[in-house]
Amino acid sequence: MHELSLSEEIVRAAISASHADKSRITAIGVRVGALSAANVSSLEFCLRLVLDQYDMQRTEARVTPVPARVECACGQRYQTDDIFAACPACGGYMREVTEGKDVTIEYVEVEDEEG
Amino acid sequence: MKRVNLRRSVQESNDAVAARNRETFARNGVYVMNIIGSPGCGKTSILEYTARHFDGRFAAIIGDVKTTLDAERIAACGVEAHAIETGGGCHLNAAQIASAIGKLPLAELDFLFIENVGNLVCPSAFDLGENIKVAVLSVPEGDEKVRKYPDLFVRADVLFINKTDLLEHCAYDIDRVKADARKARAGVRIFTTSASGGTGFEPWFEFLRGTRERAVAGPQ
Repeated sequence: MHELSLSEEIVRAAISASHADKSRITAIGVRVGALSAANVSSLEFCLRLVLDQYDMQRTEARVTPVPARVECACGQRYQTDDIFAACPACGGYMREVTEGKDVTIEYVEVEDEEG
Repeated sequence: MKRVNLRRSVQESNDAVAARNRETFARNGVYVMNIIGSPGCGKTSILEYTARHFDGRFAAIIGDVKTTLDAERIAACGVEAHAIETGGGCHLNAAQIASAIGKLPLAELDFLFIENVGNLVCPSAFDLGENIKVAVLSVPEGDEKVRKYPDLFVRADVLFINKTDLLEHCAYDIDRVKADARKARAGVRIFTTSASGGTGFEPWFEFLRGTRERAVAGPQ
């Protein structure tokens, strides 16, 4: 439900990080954690909407889903799509989620200046 | 073509404000709880019961899409309560809390309850500067909510299973809910309550007393 506000944040951050005219931004790379409370297809839809609003029709939004990574008390580290499945090494649940809770802006691609 | 690597959380600006809120709360010795649950699960009722029966200095910030009704209910218990009407926003953010805490007598408080907008999804992703996240479920919602909304339950420090007075009327496997919550987060504290019947609150009050004592004692 909050993907539109995330999209605005992403586009604004991309523009400010590129140190370039926004019309030269060709792509924005975003990673969406499996436990980030954001939906990949909604985020893709909203990013397109916001990019068009910013007159950035040429900019491609590349949204990549990222599985959760967890670390078990037994020392096992693994990635999972099912947080309710037991640790494959010890069968327990004493785990911490170490990755997959965030939506991250990974990179901005900027075309070279002409001339 | 050049690539600028950022690798930063989209929540970075919210997190920066949340960190400032957290410092302000810590400086004033206020223990802050971010309370998240569906519309109608009993968040306000739990706060009302707590305000009336637990001996502590409270204030509350109540988020709703529209109306100040819930804040009025808390104020009627003799607790200072500020309403935040989000006007359609599906969650509270750290900036909204930052502007609300300016109106609160923080130095005179032990606990601040922040009741989030009724929603099991978005509020879990926004740090407000709280000490703990408190998830609230209720029996008539059904016993699959932990499975269906894992993003909240991997973050929740405390879980209320409320409206236990309705257990006899609902096909609700409470042991399954507890087991799922512990799979999502091994250390979660679980309280089973009926806010309307006033049952199950003593372990919660014990927990609140413990947090306050730990806060007074300082970091171990």
